[in-house]
Amino acid sequence: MCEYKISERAYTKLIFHAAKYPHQAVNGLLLADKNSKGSLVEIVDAIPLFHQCLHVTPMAEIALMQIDAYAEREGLVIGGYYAAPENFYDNQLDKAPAAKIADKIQENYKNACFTLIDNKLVTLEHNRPAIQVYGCSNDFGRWSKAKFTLTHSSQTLEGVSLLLKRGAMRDVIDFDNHLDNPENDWTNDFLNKSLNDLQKLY
Amino acid sequence: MTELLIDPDIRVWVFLPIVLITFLVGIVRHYVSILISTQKKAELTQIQDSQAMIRARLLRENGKYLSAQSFSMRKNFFNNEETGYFKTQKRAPVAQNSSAMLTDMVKGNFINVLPMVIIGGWINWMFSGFVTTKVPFPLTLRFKPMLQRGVELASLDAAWVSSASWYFLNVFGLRSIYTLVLGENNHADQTQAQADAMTGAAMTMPQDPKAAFKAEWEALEITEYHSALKNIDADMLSIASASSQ
Amino acid sequence: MSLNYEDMSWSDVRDQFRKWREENGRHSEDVVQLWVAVLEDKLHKTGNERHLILEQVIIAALDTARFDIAAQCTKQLSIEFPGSLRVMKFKAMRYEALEQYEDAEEVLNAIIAKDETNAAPRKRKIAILKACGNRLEAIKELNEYLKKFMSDQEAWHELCSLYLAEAEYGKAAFCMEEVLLHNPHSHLIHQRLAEIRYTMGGVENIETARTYYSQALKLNPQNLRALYGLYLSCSFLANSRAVSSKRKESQKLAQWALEQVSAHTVKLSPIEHNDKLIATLDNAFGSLDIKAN
Repeated sequence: MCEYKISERAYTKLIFHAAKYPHQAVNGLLLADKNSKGSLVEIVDAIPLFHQCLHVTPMAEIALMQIDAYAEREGLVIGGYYAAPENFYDNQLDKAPAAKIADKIQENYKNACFTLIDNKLVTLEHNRPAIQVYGCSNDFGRWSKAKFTLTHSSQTLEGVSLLLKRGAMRDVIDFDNHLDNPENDWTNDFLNKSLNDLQKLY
Repeated sequence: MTELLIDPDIRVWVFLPIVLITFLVGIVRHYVSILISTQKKAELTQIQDSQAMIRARLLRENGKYLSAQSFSMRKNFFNNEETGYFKTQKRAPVAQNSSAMLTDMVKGNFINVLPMVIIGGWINWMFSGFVTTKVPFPLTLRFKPMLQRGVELASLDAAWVSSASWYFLNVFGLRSIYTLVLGENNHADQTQAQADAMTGAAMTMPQDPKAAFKAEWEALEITEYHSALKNIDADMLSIASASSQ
Repeated sequence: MSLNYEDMSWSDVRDQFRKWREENGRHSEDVVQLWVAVLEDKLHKTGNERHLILEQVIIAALDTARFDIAAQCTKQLSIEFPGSLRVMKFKAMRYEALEQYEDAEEVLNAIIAKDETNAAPRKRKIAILKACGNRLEAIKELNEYLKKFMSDQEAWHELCSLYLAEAEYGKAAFCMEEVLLHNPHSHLIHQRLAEIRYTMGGVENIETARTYYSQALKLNPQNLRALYGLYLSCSFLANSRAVSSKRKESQKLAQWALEQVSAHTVKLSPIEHNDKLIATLDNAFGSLDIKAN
């Protein structure tokens, strides 16, 4: 069983994605450091995928393929899947949409994690991470709760709360937005800054 | 022929009052009919029937975009000899003399016919025998009975309009004024109401669902499936080869 | 989209609201903010449109949990239309937003009892089931509803989403076809239907998917999803056990679609070397091609 370390960048993006579409289910991918050794997997970045229709596969195939290449280029690897259920109170893994993608990722990357966003905990003053992280402990492909840490936990949570208050989540771009208009950048380059710098933007 | 000169009093006491009375009666009619008419309540089965008809019609019109299997599946749903929707839904024909219909008719008569008779009669009696105005163009003799009701003068030019005829011209001519004042779909205009009553267009549903079902069943039965997307692959291919060259 | 609240006059706001209503967009946050900032005091100027605006604001206020605004607007409407079923519906929606589902259901049942042909409260009841997480029950009720109101395309669309969430792709496709019958000229519906067919898998379904993707492209040549989809389905068919001439055709079409995607994307995308990312698709599916031969 591995432990996961989630960077503030990845956390910001996935929370923003869920907050941008509060009325819909969203999902996305987590990129892990290729060189993470031993039992600690470092989740560096997140790529928001879809919010419109999570249950059909064609665009997911396209997105996975392109993001895989992107990760390769950045020295990362697709190391996980995140999803936020549509229903506010759903916080069990079996309610997560399109969980098959996670299984597929796990086939390719043994230490992949499955992150579930707990809608109830995404608030403007959230003081604990609004996610549950699951990992695969054995070869059967069953997900079970795993330990995780958030880098600079308290500062990150504070910074994200502040940005949510200022409406920064409206600018996060997912792959659906990109398909609607290629001008939209699904890597969310503008978010690849420290939270302190981001706060100056808004 | 010498030019006729009309007393200005006729303008003030006959010509304008007729316009005013007809207009005001229209306004009153509008509000009275809103007051006493009840919203026609459709029944659930009626809605269901009309929605089924819409769906069948759409299938006939746009079914060509479905695959052959999807089309025949839907056609079967409506038209199957034993289980088809149009075959199994038995609807009793709408009773002609149900009480709701009767009150509707009485109300309709009350609003439409009664004022027409009373006001018309009263105007005929009150303002009879006046020559009120002249249309600004010459007319042939055949227009005389239309424009000069109540004034039977053989020597009078056909362009002159009598008071009774002026009333009728107003009744039929004020429609656009009403739309201006009361908005679309007002109840002031009785000509419209009469036309509705004649054709039965005021009813939301066809009177007899059984006949409507049969007609739709027949229409669907003779609809054959022709895929509109049959040639799309070839089209795409030609676009592709055109652009790659 | 950012709106400058200070610069907007009440008529600008009215036009903006009207536009959103016509587009069926909720924009709840904006609606509430504009309402508070501009339109609330000027409502009487909007004439007969004010009822529509009030309804719009009520829904937006419920979306954003501004129950004070919702209650106030509902009150305004119910003074003007006492006993109106349409206003009663908003009361039920308020209960829904407060998660007092039993009260909401009571109000809705009362509306249905008064007017059983009213479709809106029936749909709200299904929405409550969905909100409670009772998806299977919602599907059942929606099916019952559609037996009576069978040309309600909004309901068919919702049923499609529910079936998709339950991974009942065949039934979802049926619902989408029903929506397609209503809008045969919408490229988005064609595209969604193709996506469902592609997800179902199998040569026959993917051929259908290709057809619908092609139609979507014909209706809107800029549709990126359709281009990608056409590429995917054609590459699948190029590797299937079809006649070799057919496979050649598919391959050609796939190639073309990918070129189009690349051309569209690279022109606009700010992502560095996006064309290379797209080219990896070709490598991945192209390698399949070698295996098949």
